[in-house]
Amino acid sequence: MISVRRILEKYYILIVLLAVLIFFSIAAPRFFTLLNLTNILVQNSYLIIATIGIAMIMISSGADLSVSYQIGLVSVILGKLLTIWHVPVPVSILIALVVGGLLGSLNGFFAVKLKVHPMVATMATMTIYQGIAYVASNSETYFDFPATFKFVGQGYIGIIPICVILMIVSVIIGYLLLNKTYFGRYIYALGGNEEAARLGGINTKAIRIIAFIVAGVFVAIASVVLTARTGSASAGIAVDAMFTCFTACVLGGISFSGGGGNVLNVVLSVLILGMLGNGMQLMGLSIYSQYVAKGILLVGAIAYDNYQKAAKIKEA
Amino acid sequence: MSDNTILSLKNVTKRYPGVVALDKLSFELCEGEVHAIIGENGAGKSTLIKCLSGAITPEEGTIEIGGKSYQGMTPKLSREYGIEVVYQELNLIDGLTVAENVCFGTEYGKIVNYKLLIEKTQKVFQDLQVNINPKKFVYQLSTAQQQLVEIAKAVSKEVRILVLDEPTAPLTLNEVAILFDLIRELKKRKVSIIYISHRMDEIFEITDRVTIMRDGQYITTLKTEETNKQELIKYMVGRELKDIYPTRSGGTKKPMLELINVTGCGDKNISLHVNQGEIVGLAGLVGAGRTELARMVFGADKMESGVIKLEGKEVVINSPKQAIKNGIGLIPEDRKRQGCLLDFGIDWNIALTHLPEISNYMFVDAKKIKEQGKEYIDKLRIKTPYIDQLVRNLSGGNQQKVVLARTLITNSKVIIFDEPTRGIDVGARAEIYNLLKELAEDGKAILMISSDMEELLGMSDRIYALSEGKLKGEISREEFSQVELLRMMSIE
Repeated sequence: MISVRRILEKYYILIVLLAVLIFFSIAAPRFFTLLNLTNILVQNSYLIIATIGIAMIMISSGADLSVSYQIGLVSVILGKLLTIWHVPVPVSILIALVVGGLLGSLNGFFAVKLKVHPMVATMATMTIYQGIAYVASNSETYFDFPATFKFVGQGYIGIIPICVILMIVSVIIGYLLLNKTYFGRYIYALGGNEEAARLGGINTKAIRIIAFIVAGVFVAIASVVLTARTGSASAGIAVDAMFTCFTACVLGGISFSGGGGNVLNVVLSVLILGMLGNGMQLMGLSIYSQYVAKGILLVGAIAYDNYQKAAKIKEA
Repeated sequence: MSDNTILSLKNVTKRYPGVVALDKLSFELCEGEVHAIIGENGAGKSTLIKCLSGAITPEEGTIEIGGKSYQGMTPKLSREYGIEVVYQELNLIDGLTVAENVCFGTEYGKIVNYKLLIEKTQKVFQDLQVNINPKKFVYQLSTAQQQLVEIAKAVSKEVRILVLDEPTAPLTLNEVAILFDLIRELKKRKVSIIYISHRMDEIFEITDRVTIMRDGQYITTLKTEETNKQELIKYMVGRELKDIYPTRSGGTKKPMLELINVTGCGDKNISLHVNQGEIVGLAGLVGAGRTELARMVFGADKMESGVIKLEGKEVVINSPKQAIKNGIGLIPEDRKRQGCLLDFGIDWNIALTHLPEISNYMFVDAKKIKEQGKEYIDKLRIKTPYIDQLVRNLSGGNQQKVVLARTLITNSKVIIFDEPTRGIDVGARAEIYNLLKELAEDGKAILMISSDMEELLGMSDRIYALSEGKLKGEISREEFSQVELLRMMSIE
């Protein structure tokens, strides 16, 4: 009985993924096709990249509500750089990544210096980034990106879409960073017990801020991929991203109080949410019913998180 | 046993995966007696309490109370019979007043009637001769006061059986005396008390009978006045235990750590020194400012003024990181919350501080972590089946050793132990003392904060006493006496 629970605990996310896959394969006839499944991967690649960044913040017991408008602001900046000022593509992308890091560092700075929960700090920056993005773009959408830029989001190497390659590379980097480097272990340590980590000689404030900066860069990469794939840039390009990142992190086992979870589970969780949206769409259900389903999924994930915590305490 | 038995457990068995927590345990409690239950950690004392409070249901056996026999208690049933448990971890609500806490769970109308609550609480306090303002918030109280509030809360509910789990652990001697007065008062009212403690002196002072448990089994029950410490320890560990303090040679005259007029966090102008190879005790009541001093030296809290010298050189310490770099280590009292990362393995916990040093371009050398983990598990005799066992699953003593290993690995020259044996059972204690001795012989300078008088006198070369944030004096081994030490610790 115990071993069954252990297996469930370890592979629950794969089980959910398979369940969703099987359900929609039966319920929506056009779901289980190579074209559609590739489509899901392509459409969710930017979300996966962003979620890896957010996962780092959440593991360190932080939170980032501003991710949607970080993506939006970086997208607007890309739009201005590439379609108005005609800055070369590599330089523009580089600037985008630097801006992402800056936005992240601002989040980190507020979260650490104001000594409020990062959730509150990033709620403030969310509004700030949103405002700047709309003011800077005059609420307009930018088109006419150079072909070389759009290639990043739409092109292929062989038969594999470039955005999927970028996603895989990001997953690998995120995995290595969190599991194989001391920076990653310190992020887990911070989430596990910040005071113990500090007394263990870790500069916890620095680690927290760096986590926000690294996350900012991941989010900027996500923005580049999304802007290039859609060929358009605007402030509201990814308003739903925050919800997906957050839900995927919780679903992926990252505890609300920090610690726990791993990148691979979080990535699979993004795919589950992606399949859910796609499958429901194919079944002819509206975007609003998808909201309901995803909300229920989030509540379920939180309940499971609490249940596991309670079980842990019982064991001890 | 006799007619006035009010509670009787017969052949109670409770199994957890992999362990039998209670093994056909029988136990009887008389009316109006103070009955100690002793046993090493893991003997099953906590499980026994949980059976009484109804938190868990035993698999076999019966619990007889009030002339009825039950398979197991429920929280409601337990309450009806007047069983109240004061746990080691206090269950008060910080943000509410003392009065609200004391009256918590009793009816007090739809709108909180503070006047009534305060009157009620004052009456309880008066009866028990507790001197705490009911209007204060719980977070404003000292740990000892919180403990008294917790007991008052239990007593206010017509308690018939009061279970105290290590009640004196956070208390100082004066406060223990207050607690004991309270217990005597309760005894007069025919309340039966189950008293769980590691401290022998207290058992002989306050209890009528002692029941010894080992490995979930009932060993024996003795009349306190007819037994002695040696005998109890023998029953507890199942073997004779000689003097647990190792003989030591004493330190050198070379100062390793010097504090000059250290001020901050309530401490004023504290100057002291610890020599190489020396164990220096730091005595004082809770709230005397000992932990605060340790945390300032370690950079965990800010020092307002003063100088810290290491090997004669002045050092500036603003964070634990800098303290560790300078060769200072701290083994905090609260190992679970401040010492270890419970969800990390032993090996990773040990490697935590110096991870960057054993990494190549940020990438951690996992093999090296395993190797040194194994090395220190052997060296410090950490009991565990695996190197990567989660620290959550270790006993308090072994968690302590994990933090110590981490401190040793960073080449600490000065190690500050804050209550090194609190909550650690007798057998494991001797091991900690031996470790302290070995560390001193290795040339470390050790500063040991302790509230255990025996331990201070048994282990230290010199003892400093603190009271209300001020240094009250210093005594060396030749002048050691419990009376003198108590005099210095006391508040004027």
